Amino acid sequence: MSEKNEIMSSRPFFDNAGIEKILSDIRKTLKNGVLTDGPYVKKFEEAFAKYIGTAEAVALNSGTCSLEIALRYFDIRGREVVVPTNTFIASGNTVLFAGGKPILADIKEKTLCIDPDDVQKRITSKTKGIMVVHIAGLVCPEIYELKEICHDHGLFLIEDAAHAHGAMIDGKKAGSLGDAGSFSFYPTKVMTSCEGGMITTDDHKLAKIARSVRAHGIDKETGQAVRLGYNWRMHELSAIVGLRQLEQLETFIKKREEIAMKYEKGLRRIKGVKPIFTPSNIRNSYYKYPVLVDDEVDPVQLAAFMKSKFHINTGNVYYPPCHLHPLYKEMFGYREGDLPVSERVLRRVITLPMHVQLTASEINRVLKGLDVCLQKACNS
Amino acid sequence: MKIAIHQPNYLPYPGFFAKASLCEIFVLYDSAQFTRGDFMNRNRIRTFSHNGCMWLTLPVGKKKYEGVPISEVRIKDDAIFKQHRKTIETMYSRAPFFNKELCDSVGIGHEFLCEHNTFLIGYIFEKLGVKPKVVHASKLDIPIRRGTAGIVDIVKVLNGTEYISGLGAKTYLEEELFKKESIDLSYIEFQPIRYAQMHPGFVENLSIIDAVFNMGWKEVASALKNTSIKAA
Repeated sequence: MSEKNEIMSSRPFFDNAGIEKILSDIRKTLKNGVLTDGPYVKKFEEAFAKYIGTAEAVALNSGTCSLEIALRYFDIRGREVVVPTNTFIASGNTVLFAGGKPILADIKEKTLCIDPDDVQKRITSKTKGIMVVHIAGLVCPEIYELKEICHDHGLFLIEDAAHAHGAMIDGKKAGSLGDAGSFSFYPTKVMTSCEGGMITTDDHKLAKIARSVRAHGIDKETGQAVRLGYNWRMHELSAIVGLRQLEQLETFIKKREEIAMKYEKGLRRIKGVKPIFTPSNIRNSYYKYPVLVDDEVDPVQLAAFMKSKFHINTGNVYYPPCHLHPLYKEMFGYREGDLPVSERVLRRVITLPMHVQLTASEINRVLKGLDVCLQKACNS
Repeated sequence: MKIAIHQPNYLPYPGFFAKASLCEIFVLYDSAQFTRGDFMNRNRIRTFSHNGCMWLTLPVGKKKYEGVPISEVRIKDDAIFKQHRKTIETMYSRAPFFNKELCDSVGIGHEFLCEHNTFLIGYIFEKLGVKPKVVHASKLDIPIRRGTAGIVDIVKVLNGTEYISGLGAKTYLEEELFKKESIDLSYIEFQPIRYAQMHPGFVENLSIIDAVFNMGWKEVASALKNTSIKAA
C-alpha cells in the first residue's frame, strides 16, 4: 500500500506561505537567542485570549498541564471533581495529580457529551467542581445546565476544550464559558503548536498563578519560589507555530465544516450509520467526525475493513471509556455496567477522517468505503 | 427522510392529518410551551344553529401551565372525558357516518393532556390509514430551543432531509437556518375540505371528527390526499 493512497484520520496542515513565515520567525529567534519565555509566547497568549474572548491566556507545553494547573488553582486536594467518562484518560488523571478524585459521569447518547442529570446524581459534600469536555469539537450542548448546577452548588466549571478551538455556542467560544478553559495544541488537533497547551480565563489571579507554576512556582515579581511548580513553559518555536496556526484557524474550521456537511449529506444515503447531533446554535469545530453505527455492526471489524480494503484510517472517541481502563477499575472499583450509556454507545462510535487537506474525492472514497464495509461488518 | 412537526392538539382539524400524511416521521412537539387559547386542549364542533359551533375544552387549571412544556400538563377534571363523549354523541348521533367507537375513544380518560391527545391522534391515524412514524419531541433528549432553531434541531437529530411545514408558519420561519443545514423546506397547501354538514350552514376547519361523522373515514382519507406541498 503506498502512502499516497492512504487517507489519514487526522493530520496538521501548513500552507507554503505559513511555512515560510514560521521559518523566518524561527530563524530570527535562533539568531537572537530568546528561545523561551520571549515575545512570541506573549504574542500568542494575547492573540489567543482575544480570539477566545477571555481576559487572559497562559501558554504551556501541553493541554494536560493546563488542566492540572487549573485544578491546582481551585485546590481540589481531598475533594471530588465530576468528569465525563468519555474523555481522554488525561482529563481524569489531572484530577488525581492535583490531589483530587475524579468522579466519572455518564454521557448523552445524542451528543456523546456529559449528561447533567447524571452529574447531579454524583454531587456530594466533597464535590469541588465539574470538568466538561467538548467532545470531538462539539461544545457540550448542556453547558448552560452545567453552569446552573455549578452556580447552585458553589462549584467551579473547567472546560476541557482540547478538541474545541474556535467551537461556539450562541456565538460564545469554547474556553470562555466556564471559570477556566484548557486547550491542547497536539499535532492532530484543530490547530497545533507541535506540542503545547493554553489556559483561558477571566480570572487574573488564576493566570498569575499559572505563570508561576509553569516556571517552577517562582513569583515573577520577587524571583522566589512561592509554590510547587514544574517546567511547563511553552518555548518560542512552539509559539511561532501556534501563532501562524491561529491566524488560519477560522479557515481551518470553515474547511472542516464543509467536509462535515459533505459527510452528513453522504451519510443520509448509507444505512446502518448516523452522525452525532450538532444543535443549530453550536458551531462545531469538527476536531473529529464521529458516527454511530447500528447495533448489529461490529465497529472493530468495520475499522479493520476500512483500513485493509480502502486504506482509510478511522479512530474513536473514546473506547474504552475512562471507567473501564484497568487503572481506574483497580483504583476506584469501577465495573462494566456502572455507566451504561457510555458503554452501550461508545463501542459503536467510529470517527471518520477529518483534516483540512481531505479532498472531495477522498471524502467520496470514505463514504463509499464506509457503505461497503458496513455491509461486510454486518454480515461477518 | 421527510419530517413534519406539530403540537399534539386536541382532536385536531383535518389540515393536521393532511400534513402527517405527507411525512415519514411526524413529531408531536410536546416540548413546546403550553399556551392558553390555542388548540392544545380544545377544539370546535358543530351545533344545531345556523353556522353554530362550540368549543370542547379540556380543563387544565388557570394560569398554572402557561409556559410549561405540553408534556407536563395534566387534565384537571376526570369527568370531562365522559362529558365530551356525551356532547359529541348529542350533536352527531344523527350524522350520516356517526360511529360510536370514535365517540367512545373521546370518553377514555388520561392523566396528561399530551397522553390523551396522542391516544386520540393515533386512533385517528389508524382509521385514516395515515402511517408516519410518530415521535414525541420530549423523548428526543436534546436541549429544548424555541423558534426555528428548535425545529431545525429536531429535524437534524432525526436525520431529516426535508421539513414539511404548514403555510401559516411561512411568516415566522427563518428559512435560511434550514438552508444552512442543507434541509429542504416545503409548505403544505391545505385547502379546507368542503362537505355537507348535518347542521345548517358550513363552518370550516372544525375538529376532524365533524368531517368524519359527515363523510366517513374513507372519504375524509381520500379528501386529505388532495393536499399538495410546495418547496420554499
